Amino acid sequence: MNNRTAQLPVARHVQPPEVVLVALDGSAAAATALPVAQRLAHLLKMPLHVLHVATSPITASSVAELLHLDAAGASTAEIDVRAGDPSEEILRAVKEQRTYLTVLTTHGREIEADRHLGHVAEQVIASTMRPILLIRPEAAAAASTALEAKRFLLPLDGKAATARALGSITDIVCRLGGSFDVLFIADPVKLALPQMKEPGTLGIPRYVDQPQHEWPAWMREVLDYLGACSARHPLGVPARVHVVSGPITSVVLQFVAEHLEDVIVLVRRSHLEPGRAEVLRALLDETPCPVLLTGTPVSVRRSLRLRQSTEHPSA
Amino acid sequence: MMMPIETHLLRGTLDAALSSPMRAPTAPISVRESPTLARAFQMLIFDWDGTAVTNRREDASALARLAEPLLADGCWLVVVTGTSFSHIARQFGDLIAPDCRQSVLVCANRGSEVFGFDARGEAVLRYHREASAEEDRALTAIAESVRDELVRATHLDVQIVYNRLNRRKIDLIPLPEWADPPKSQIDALLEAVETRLAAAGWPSGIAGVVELARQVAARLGIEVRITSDVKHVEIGLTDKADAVAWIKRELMTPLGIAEHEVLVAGDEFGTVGGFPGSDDRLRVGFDAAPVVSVGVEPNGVPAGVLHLGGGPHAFRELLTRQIAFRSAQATDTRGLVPPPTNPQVASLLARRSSLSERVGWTLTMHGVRPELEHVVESLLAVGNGFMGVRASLEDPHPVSHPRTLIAGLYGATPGGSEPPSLVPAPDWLRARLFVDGEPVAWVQAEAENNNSVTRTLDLRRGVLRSEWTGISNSSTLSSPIAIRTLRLVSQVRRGLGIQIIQIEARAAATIALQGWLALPPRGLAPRDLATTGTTWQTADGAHVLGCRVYAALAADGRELRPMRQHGAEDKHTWAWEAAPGQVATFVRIVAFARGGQAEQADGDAVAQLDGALAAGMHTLLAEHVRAWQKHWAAGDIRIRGDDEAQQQVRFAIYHLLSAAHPEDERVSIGARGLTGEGYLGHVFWDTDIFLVPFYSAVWPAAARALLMYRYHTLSAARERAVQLGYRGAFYAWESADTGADVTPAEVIGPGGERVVVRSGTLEQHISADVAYAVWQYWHFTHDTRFFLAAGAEIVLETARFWASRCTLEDDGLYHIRRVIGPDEYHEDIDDNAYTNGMARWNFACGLATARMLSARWPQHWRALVRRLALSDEELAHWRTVSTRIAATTAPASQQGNAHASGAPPIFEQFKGYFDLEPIDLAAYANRTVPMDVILGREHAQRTQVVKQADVLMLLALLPDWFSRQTVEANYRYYEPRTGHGSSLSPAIHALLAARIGELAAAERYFHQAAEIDLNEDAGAAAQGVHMAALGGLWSAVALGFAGILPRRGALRFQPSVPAGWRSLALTFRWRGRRLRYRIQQAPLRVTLQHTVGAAPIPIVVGNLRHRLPVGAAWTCWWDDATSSWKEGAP
Repeated sequence: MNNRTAQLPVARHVQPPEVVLVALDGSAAAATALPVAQRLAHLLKMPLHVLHVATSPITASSVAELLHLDAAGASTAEIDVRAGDPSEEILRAVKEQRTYLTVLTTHGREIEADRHLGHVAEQVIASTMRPILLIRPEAAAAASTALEAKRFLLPLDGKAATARALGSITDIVCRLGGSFDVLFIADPVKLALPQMKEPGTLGIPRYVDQPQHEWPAWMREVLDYLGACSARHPLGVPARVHVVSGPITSVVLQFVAEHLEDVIVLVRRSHLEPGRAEVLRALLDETPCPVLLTGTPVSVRRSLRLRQSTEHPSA
Repeated sequence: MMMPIETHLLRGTLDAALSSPMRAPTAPISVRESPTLARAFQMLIFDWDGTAVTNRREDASALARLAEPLLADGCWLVVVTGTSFSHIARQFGDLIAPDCRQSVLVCANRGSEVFGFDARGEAVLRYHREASAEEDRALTAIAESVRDELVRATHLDVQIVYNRLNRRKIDLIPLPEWADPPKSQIDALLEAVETRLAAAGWPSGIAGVVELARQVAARLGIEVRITSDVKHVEIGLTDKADAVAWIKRELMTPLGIAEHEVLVAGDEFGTVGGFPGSDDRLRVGFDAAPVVSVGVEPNGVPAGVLHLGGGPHAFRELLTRQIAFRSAQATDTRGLVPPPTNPQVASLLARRSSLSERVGWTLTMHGVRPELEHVVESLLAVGNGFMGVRASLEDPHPVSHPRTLIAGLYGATPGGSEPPSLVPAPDWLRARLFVDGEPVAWVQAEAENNNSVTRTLDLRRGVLRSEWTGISNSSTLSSPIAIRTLRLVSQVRRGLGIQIIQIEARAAATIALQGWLALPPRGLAPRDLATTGTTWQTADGAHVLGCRVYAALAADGRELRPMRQHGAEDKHTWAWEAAPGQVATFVRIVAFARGGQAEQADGDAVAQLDGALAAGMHTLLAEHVRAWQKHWAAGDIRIRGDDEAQQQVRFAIYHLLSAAHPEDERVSIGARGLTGEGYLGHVFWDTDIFLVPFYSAVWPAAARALLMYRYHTLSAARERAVQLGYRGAFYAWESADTGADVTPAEVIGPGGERVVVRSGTLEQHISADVAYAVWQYWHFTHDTRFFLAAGAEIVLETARFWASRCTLEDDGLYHIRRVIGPDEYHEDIDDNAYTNGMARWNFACGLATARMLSARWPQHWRALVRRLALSDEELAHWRTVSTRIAATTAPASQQGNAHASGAPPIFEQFKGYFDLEPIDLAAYANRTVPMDVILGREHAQRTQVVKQADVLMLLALLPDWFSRQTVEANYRYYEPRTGHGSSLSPAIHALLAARIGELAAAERYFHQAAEIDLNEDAGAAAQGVHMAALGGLWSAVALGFAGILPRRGALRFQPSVPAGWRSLALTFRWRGRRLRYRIQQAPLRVTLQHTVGAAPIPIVVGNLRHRLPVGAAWTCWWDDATSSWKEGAP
């Protein structure tokens, strides 16, 4: 074919395809994310964007070699080598690419003995609201299998802001052909504390007049609610709703074990400041399950005004 | 995909096309400005891609919605396209109602095929041009020859698309980014193709390829049509002119449609890249048909073509105007559309009216929050006891549950696998608006802070109004129209619903309004799909719903003619040319009638609608407003000093007044009324214990109807008793239309476990609850006719049930074992205090009935005794049982102070309750979930946690039976143990707390009860408002704070009002009289006024007794110094 090139007008309607991005740093730990990301890209029918944040100069082909990418693997993945602060580079790449999902290990080169969540992963998680699949390197082999099995455990606090953040997650689960186990948890310790109410919250019903009517209706309502909040009508993902009582972390871990859940879905509602996101940290410490994370704007605007008769006599 | 720029093998044709005079590019004119288009056409022939739709992936539903009314009105729509029929069918045909499709024709594959639709809406192939094998080979030979020559010259990747009917396409730019370019980028595509060819050494560009194809075809001696859509050069056997020729010959001539009655529309008539536009072939053979282009037409349009521009948007505007021309034709008018200046309508629609100015009369929702939409729909519902309509928007959000529910319209699944449930009626409120062909998005749901829609429930007049400004907070763009709507269900003619929509144009626009009946989502189907939806039937065939609709729209003082589609949806479309400031008014009246037979239901609906039309809109609105005024005059509660409490109690009364139907004895009020589908519309003890007191005091006719429902289902209760081995009447825990028990047998619990539902068999107190409601009503009304005809029988038959249910045991006591009391956390218990207490009361009531009837109406009594086979021995047995029925009180250790020393007894809720594990509920004070969820169901059963008032319920219902000290002692024992896991619980606690003077607790429980529905949580009221909680709220105020106690021929008052309430005033009825009762604070004083009635009312306030004659008022006050009531003002 002709090798002569011409500067053709750009097709304005064509957007670059969405990608699955995997972030690596040359460590063996981070590299365990690659097979998971490759599998995901295949299942999602998306290109794989391999981001390598290097500490020393390295070429894309060397990265392919380093990662043992065969010719087929290298040809289907775009390898992007950058230097700089890992978390900043990852966040920049997430923004620059049309990143559908980022795959990240909980830690890479630097391992902190007292916790599973490395500071790079933590900074990335805290700074983006786009979905991230977080995997523990030692459990990465099982993560690929988990994605095939497709049971996603979704613990919910019933707040609208949380549910609104789930649009992208629901899309991922839908494309993977997965299903949700939506879990509402009555934690006696937390329930003993004063509750911060947000308008539009759908929690566990406070009044269950007749369980034979209330629970089925509430479960349907939960699914409608998730659809309403995430702008998916209907939700498009099979879902079962459960209510369990107990401390949140242990309930989630027990549920994962008993129901053979494959992935835990969590919505971050803080910037992971010290003392916040305890459940996220605890789960990452204790579960081998991959965690699919998304974020929601931390401040919640009170946009609803259900006004109860404020019509006073005009002056 | 691009439409081709066509050329012809015959040089003469091409030359002629190119030499036809072209108009230089000029500014397009709008559809509205063109006099040529200012009339109705009989046929529209139009191109698809770029003309009717932007591309083949576009949602064409807006186009289909505008096309349908034209088709229904006999206008032909003919698509002429290069694409295949399947694409058009999928994108457009499937969206058109089957009965409208007969007037749609699709000339596909560039003149090679014509498809139509038969009467059932199925596609029919009308014409097919089949290439011979020789022609097929020739097309391939030409295409391959051109490709090969091009590749030889350029070395470019050039590909052939073979799988097109009678065509081959040579792709000049097979690059991924140009795989499917939209029409709007034709200029960029042209540049890309020309640049690609030129850079590769083919300077003559697309024209050169066409010319090459022409030469190849000529060389092979084959006559073909050569066209180009810029991306491709196509070699085919037919083109759009062939389609036009077929239309003229096979359609226009037989139908007698003249050329001037046809409008031709496309988007490419002018030249592009040196070729005449593909749509220019649509003009072949037409001399008198107007031709319009909605395309960009960068090089202008040929003479005779009107350039509109605007793309598919302009095409839809053109369709809207076509509807408007038809609507403008004369129509029969019933004169029911009020002019915009009508003061009555203006008053109802006014954001602030004199009637609604005071606090507590409106409830407003700003914007649409999808997650709260179900709740808002319930809270703002309108109802009249026959019909309930949720507050969904006319063009509802996808997550919305728009429902019109009809009392008693229960449907069961065939085979009875599911319990019967209320089935929704057709949604008669649907309306969609188009402005200049664009659908108006009433709900910009996902927009942040979308406040463009405001819904306001006017409690005082029972109407829901809405206002749509088209402006959201996230946008500064304003809509060219503003919409105001009004919705009500008549309180006088209960089968009628009325909807008024005013559309105000802010700028000149062509506006279309489409109204239809949306098919119910389940359980109800039209009896005849082919005709307008006049009768509908439940899936089990038990009920028929007649439905008749009147709809009209007027603009500029004259009614417009609708385009009307046949079918169950009964779709009507109007369109009009609106001037700035013009207000058009749409009116729709629906008449529903429930029945067993289609003819009867339809006849009733017709009669109701005819009656409404004869009465006229003024009467319909005026009588509705008057009825509400009357309701409020009879039942309003006025609280001064606590606006929130005022609003809450008005909200409760509004829904109570909306739920009852005094003329229908065959239905009752379900747990969620008619505001939602929750609890399947089933009727529980809620109605008898929590609602009947309100109706007895405020609207006795409604109470009577509810009790007659129990009387009409008495036979089912008798059958149920027999089935379970008892006598008398055992009412169903959950009932629907027949009175048979419809409690679901099991449920999947919140933990995923399968739970057997035992309340259907064990929650037997309902039989005494029904009797209690009868007795309450009798006390409040002395409705002798009801009591003799129905009430007494219910009381006696339920007492008989308890006699057969109680078992004499070795301890010499009668026991009722294996029941569930109101506290449903504890199942299968023995000697529940509430059940046993109410059974004992039921005996007493039965015996009192016997005494009263035998003394005052002996003849009636004898007849009843005969009919029920009641013997003196049986009555004596009741007396025995009632005095020896088991009741456990607390041992001294349970009370904290010695029982033996005279402290009041604490009733044990059931046998063994005192031995259960105590739980400190104070540790869970902030909980927002029920205790059985926190503890787990099985654990909760082992604890003393009470779901809802049980012993306290008994004490609340029977104030005459227990001393204040007993009530107080039991309240103090059980209140800390009650988890309030039922919405029925807080109001009863408010009532009891008020009675014992625990006002802080009473006020707290009052607000808790009110906030069950009135809160900003999603979910709580999503399935409908909690009718029992609302009835309980009234009871808490009237029987608690106001302390009304009907007692042995006198009315006793024991006011105990929260400190913040400056005054509390209420109106109620008592035995044919009406009283106004006002309590003021600081110092506490009471004013009673006897406004309607004959005989004086004996009243008791503390130590004072008085007989209050009609027309008189009486005042007394509490003297702290003497701790006694004093007559007169302080």
